Amino acid sequence: MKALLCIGGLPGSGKTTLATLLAENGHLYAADDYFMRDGVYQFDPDELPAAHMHCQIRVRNACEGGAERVIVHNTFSNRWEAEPYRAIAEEYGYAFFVVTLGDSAIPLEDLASRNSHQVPLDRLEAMAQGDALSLTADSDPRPPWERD
Amino acid sequence: MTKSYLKPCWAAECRLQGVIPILLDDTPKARLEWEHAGGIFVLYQPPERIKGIWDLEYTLGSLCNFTREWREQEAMLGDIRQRVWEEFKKGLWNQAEWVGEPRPHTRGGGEIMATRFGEVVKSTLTMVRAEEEAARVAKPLVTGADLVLLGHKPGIAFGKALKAAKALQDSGERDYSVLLQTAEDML
Repeated sequence: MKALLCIGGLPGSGKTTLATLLAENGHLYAADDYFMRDGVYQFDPDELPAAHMHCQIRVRNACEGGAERVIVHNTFSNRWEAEPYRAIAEEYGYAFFVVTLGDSAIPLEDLASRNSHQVPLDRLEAMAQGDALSLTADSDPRPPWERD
Repeated sequence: MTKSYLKPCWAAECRLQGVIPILLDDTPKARLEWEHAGGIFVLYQPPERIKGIWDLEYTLGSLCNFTREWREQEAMLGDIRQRVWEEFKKGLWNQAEWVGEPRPHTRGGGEIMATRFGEVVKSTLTMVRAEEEAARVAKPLVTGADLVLLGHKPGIAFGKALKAAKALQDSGERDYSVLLQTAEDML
């Protein structure tokens, strides 16, 4: 059975490590890939919509190509992040899973110091506390840039 | 601060949306409530995180097997498809107990799920058939309307005639014409 896995968790929680361990044949995608330029991570918030679209297109292509296991490792802290992948999974007949890295023993301060994208502590706190009911019916399935 | 996605309500909401949430955590403290809410918990604790990976692989394999099984069989279930699904969803709340346990050397997860699938289909079929039979036995095949159509006028004898037909039906007679004749003979 083909599977599409969304691996979520806060920055620094080890999503990429886990995804790499689980990936088969390199079908491993993240919105962050978009910000890697010549091996250097160059985040630009204005390019987030393009980064997510880029990731979704690559995942769709992988599913269309019949990859056995496709893994997406974004933070998945909001419904709108997971929803497009669920739709892709349904469209191509993939089993869909959301795997969350809890890391409850690790204080946010430690996550802030070890995440590779230099996400600051106050942003981590907001992500941890915020709109994290990612798949609930009443949360907005649209990305922020498409809302009124 | 409890990270919001560690809260059991997150797991419950995911389940309502038809997604089985899998939580990998480095302490077991969230486990009980998470599983109770219908999620699957995998202990992912250093330094032996590879055990967590094995457990996760096992869980994913089991769930994939179930999904495949369901998709292959749901068309064949016909009218009872929805009923089987409802029954299975009841069981899914306990699913975490089978696939969420940290068991690094697990084998046969797929078989467990497949057996469970077969069991649910079988028990649902048994239940549906029993209900159908109960309804069939309980519902009189010959009614007052039938007798009126045959020209009989309702009266005291009517009730007795219908009772006799129903008694014969409950004793195992399924032939409508025999039951009708029994009723008519009493009028």
